[in-house]
Amino acid sequence: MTKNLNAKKLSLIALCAIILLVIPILLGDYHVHVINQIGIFIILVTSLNLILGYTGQLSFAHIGLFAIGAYTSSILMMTYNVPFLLSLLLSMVASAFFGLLVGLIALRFTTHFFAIVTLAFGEIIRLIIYNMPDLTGGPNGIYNIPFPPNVFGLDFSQRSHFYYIILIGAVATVLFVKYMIGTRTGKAMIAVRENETFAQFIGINTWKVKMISFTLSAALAGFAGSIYAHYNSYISPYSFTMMESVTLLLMVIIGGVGTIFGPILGAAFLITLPELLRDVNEWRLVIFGALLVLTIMFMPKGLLGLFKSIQEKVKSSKKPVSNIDSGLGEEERKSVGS
Amino acid sequence: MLNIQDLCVNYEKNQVIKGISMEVKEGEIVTLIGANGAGKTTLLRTISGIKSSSSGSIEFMGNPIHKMPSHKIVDLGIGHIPEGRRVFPEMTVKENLEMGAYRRKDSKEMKKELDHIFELFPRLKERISQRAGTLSGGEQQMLAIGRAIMLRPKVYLFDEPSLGIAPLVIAEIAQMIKRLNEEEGATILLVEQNANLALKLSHRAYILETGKISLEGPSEELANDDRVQKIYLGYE
Repeated sequence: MTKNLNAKKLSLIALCAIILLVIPILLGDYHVHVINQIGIFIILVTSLNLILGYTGQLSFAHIGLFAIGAYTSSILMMTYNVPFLLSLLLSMVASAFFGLLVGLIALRFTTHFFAIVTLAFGEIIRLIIYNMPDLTGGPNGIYNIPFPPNVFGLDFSQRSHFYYIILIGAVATVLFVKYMIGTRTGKAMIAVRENETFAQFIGINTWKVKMISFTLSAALAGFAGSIYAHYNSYISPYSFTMMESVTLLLMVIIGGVGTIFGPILGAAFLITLPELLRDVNEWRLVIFGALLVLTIMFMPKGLLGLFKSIQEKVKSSKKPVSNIDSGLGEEERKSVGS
Repeated sequence: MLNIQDLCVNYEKNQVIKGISMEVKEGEIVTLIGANGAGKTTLLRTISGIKSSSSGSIEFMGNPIHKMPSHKIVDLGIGHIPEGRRVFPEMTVKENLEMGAYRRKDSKEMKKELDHIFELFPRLKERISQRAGTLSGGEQQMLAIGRAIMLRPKVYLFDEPSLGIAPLVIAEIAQMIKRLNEEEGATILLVEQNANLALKLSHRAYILETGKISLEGPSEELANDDRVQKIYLGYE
């Protein structure tokens, strides 16, 4: 039984891998571009999910950390001729470092207060970028950011080729977060999310756990930022506004907070939607707002939760036997509880 | 073993604990009885470092711990079972127990400890992969105790283990506390509103009234004290 299931799972993974690999060959440039944007946001939203979904801390600073990654990588490569891979790595280090600094201050606060402080930092980072034209180009931004050098005959100035960098980046990020939450520290993060005071009773150094989570998440945001810069070849402070922060948050919430697939679904959904709604673009924010309210009211576990509950309903209607077991538990529970 | 001297604790400007001195010796069950708002929970939280004290000292086996962060205090061997049968509702029974052993790094010992707990609480074993939030109140309290046992602390701080639990299950939990003390030599500081139960279970007792200790002595003596009988045991 389990062997069958494993074989099924493996073939499913193989199928997904093949589909993902051939996407740029089958689809046109426009569709590949949309998918690439989704991929970059999957990295960014997955990083946000580590601190928001798994550690339970609502951060608005991620758009700023994303910007730091984007600017560091561009400036290093253009002004200092640092090779692409090293710029990518250093942009992660820079974001992690600023994440650490922001965390040192912001994580002294909890809940809404933490959110407000991070919101302030997100804006401060954007304003600094805006007001340092010598380094960052100020409001004009940075143009002609070089593409990564060609390898294996892939020309990364083409969207369908850059796709593979984003694919590898997104898969690596998702796998890293999945691995992370399986570790001892990852479990402590979940404990902090569930109940911070109780986590202290158990002997978890909650502050340290939150710092680790925030810094790692900042590094991943920087990673996303670097890829974003080299892919779009142009960045400006207007790409990193508070509104973008809110969109990121929506992606996590609508996809499914604290799940591996939630951010993937959320990013895909919220990037595809405006593309489909091009004609009514001025209504975008209204639609997003309505979606947020509806999600929180009717599917608090996001799209992923919705799919899961549909799946369970289909399953239980097929095999009613499996329900007897839990039904009994419920009755017993009532008699014990009363 | 646990020695508290002139301890004062404030919430903002309100002094909640007003100079308490008390002692828990090794192998004892000591109970702390008091009405709502007397400061019982605050005292326990201060011992485990969740709440900071404003003056006075707490010593545990010779180490001053009143300025230590809570995770260090857990390492020294103080296990706190907070009130309201705290568990992680979204985690399974097994995951909750594993979280209890968070400060332990040896996974082999952990396996042994898990078996030990399932022996003490067979009902938890039946529910091993169930989400803790779906357990009954009594089962959650057992899980909370099991979680504390995972660390094998030297002192257990129990905060109102009987609160909101069916009478039959209370008896079971009381039995468990006694067993921990008698069979495993654990020292126990028990905070209870159910004075009847607490005085039966413990060797010595302190009575806490609005932040001060008003009476102390062997539990049997206190159980026969007129005033205690009237106020805390409800005798006419």
